[in-house]
Amino acid sequence: MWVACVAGSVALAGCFGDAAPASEDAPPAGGTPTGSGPAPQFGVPLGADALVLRSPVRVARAGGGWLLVTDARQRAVFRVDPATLQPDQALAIDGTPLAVGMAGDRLFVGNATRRTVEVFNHLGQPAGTLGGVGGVGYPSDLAVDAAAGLVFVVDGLARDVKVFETGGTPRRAIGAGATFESPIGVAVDPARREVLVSDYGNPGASIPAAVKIFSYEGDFLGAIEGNGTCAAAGCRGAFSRPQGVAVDDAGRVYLVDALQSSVLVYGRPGLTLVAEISGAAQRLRLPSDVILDETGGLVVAASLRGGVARLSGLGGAR
Amino acid sequence: MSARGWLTVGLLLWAGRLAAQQTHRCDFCHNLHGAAAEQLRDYQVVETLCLSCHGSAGPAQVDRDGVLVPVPKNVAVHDGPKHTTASGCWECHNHEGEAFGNLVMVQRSVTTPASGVKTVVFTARSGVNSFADADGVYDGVCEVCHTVTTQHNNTGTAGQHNAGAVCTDCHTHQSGFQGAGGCSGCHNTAQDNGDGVPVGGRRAVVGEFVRLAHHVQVPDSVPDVDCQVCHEMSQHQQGRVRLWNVDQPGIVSAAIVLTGNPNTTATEARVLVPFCVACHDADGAGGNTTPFTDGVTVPGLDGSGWASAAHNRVSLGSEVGCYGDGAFGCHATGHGSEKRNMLAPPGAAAVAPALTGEQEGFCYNCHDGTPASTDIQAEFQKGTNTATQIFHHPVAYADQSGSRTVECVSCHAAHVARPDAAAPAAPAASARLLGVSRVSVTNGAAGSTPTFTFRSATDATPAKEYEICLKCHSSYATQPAGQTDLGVVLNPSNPSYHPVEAAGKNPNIRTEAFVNGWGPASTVFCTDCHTSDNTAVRGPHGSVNRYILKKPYTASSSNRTMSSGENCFDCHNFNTYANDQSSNTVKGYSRFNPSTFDKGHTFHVDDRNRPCYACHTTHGSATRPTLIVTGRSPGLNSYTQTGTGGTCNPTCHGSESYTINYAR
Repeated sequence: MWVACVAGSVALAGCFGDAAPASEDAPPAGGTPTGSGPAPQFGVPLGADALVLRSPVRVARAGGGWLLVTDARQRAVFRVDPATLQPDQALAIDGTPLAVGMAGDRLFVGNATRRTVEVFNHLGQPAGTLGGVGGVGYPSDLAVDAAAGLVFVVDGLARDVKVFETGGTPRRAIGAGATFESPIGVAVDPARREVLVSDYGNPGASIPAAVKIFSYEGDFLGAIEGNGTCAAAGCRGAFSRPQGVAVDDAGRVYLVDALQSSVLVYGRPGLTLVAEISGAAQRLRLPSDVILDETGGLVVAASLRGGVARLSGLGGAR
Repeated sequence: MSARGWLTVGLLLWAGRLAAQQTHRCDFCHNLHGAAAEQLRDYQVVETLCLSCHGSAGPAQVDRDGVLVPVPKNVAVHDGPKHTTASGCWECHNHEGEAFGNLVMVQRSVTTPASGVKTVVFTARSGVNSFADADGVYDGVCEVCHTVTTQHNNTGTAGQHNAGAVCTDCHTHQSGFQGAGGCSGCHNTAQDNGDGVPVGGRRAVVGEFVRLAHHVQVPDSVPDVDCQVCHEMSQHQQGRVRLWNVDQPGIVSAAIVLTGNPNTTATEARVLVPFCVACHDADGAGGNTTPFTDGVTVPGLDGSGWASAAHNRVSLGSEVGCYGDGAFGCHATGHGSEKRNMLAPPGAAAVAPALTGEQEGFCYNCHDGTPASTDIQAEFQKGTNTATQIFHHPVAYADQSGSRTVECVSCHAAHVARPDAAAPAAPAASARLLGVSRVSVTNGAAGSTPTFTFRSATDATPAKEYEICLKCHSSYATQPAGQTDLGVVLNPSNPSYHPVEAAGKNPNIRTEAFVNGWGPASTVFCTDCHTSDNTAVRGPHGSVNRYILKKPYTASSSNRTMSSGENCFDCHNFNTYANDQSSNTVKGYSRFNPSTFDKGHTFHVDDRNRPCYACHTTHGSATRPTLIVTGRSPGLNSYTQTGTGGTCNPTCHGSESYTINYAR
């Protein structure tokens, strides 16, 4: 399994240590537990390759400081040690898992096969669905605001973002009509009550890829377009395959571009490009998600290489 | 105009030629970030480009109409031992083929690794002009490169399996086109790779897993992981069935490899014995007794029993084992059979009332005289059983009734039974009977019902033959009304009994009173009396004589002339008991005879035609010595034994006392 630490072109940084968690419920070494709720406890599957990441899609933070990673080929949600970035437990999913997130004792997993968001408790025991089976056509990503008790789910089939209460009650859909072309990733900024949605756009209609920003109530606030800026020295800041999105406490937006194998960082005010962290030279191929870990470092799922990598020390991006 | 501008114009003109089937705009892939319309020559760049939409996290499985569509995901490199270099997405897919009507961006012109430039026609997903349509023009996208494949090469010299089918249904992008799609995805139909082994290819096996008896108790599916519990896949599609030695998991060199057809070749079927036994032993598959996902525990064989079992015949000079057609093996499939216990032949159900091919019918495949040396089938067909006239154990389906049934396996364990190295001493069971369940007895006082203890087939205590008989012929079972509880009458605490469980109570009787080597200290098997009339066959399968007796015997006290060929005289001296012309010396071997008493056994049996049955019971008496019985007519009303003789009060004359020839 590929678990090499990856350094970006903006700022190089070392990796965390390899220490494993001291116990099942103890926070992993090297990370400060800020996730709410109990630590996930799934159990260890049988099979020599059952605990190997093959095609990680989304990453999320969970209680106890653990990370959760969905793997489409392994059809499982892995509990991953944030220090070693190694999976140590797995929850088998009946279908293709994409989106993942956790709020308190409720684990949400987007199941593309069953077209729903399945809900589990921290032990991996089923606890219902969001929207019912078939209710979310293509749940490619989700974001959780645990404090507000809300789950935001991208439905690539309906081309909207469905908002549920963590208990399962639907609130609203963001993006009715032609708001989205091909929405794929989502993040929330609880401080600003903003929902950020990555969208591949539609080249056939000359609609560029973008990150579209809404209020929690669904009002469109603005967008980061993927056209980039071209000048005599070349072009900068463009993206065409925007996948996972993350937001830090300062409101900076982190966007993974799957094709460029890079993380683009946009600062406020204005959400202008402040850094472009390329991972191509470090074999970061086809990244699909990015989150901020407990230390503010970036954890990236690289789906083609079958690994989770860390880009830390953002340097000038901060 | 700049170079970039010309390129843009060119692309637009080219795009204008595209038919309505166009699905990818140029800028899906080119000119993505405002840069020049660069050529895509790097395999990894192209792969990433394709997978950015078609990969696990991509949106490409949702089309513009909002419908989920099946698109390749998690594409693996098309590579393998037959490739000199790996093939990427664009070896097959590029946009220029769309102008010629090729679907899904399949190239029109492919520069092949070893065959120059080839034209590709892919205007249909199945049928004519699809992947490989066997139309004599080898222009299918799967054909144009292939030169050393066993199917669909570019010269037509390879096999043409599944011509016109959608190749990628089985040879998926996800597997690198290695014929994946799951084991079941291909093996639900016959698969012929053209190597002629076996003729016609591999049969469809998925359907066998829903038969009456089958491996893997998972409803409606056979997970790949279960297939690979048994099948070693490192040389898949290379002409040989390779099976794991499950006691050496993961060691490819230990694989058990078939080189022929075990369904038609005894020697080849024999190869499978170690494969079967490796799992069906005490530790299952290398310590895992539930190797399949169904969680079912492997039925274990007695390993030491099988090692010397009669059905494990390699040691006896013939090829008989687990796998076979019913003649050189019993289980004709590793997948599933319509017969219980996965017996052969697997495809046809056993149909009542004959149930041919199952239980006794199955055993008759061999035990009808060929290849087995004895004809057991003929034994079971002797006589016609009635409620009171029993000539054979009723193993046939038509003979089965009530709660007490008997089958071959009631007495014989197919994986354990073997010939005796030396004749066993009664009551020890023959090795032919080992490995079956039985009931042992703990006897109490005379006439009491013993305590029965069920002993399973794997019970390690030494088996006694009568323990197997008592499973049915005692009150341990639910016996028919009026039938004797042999557990009671054979109790050695009784005053008299035939010496089945222990030596008899008459140790001082003269040895000369017996024939054929029997004596006062002998113990007997049930099967010394209850066995075939055919001396070449052992065991109580059947006999022309009632009660499955070795020799004739009439259970009646009516007067008749007894002959020396009757069953009693197989052990007891006819001349001593039934020939009144014998000398007093011969008669004197019996206590109840001349010379001290002028009448006695020979007078009654020979002169007066009273059969043994008139005064003696057969198996044992809970109340009287020397198997004396009262209440029959002609017979005894009462009998009293003394130290020197006794007194009879028969139905034929008045009470009379006698003095014995020699001490008891």
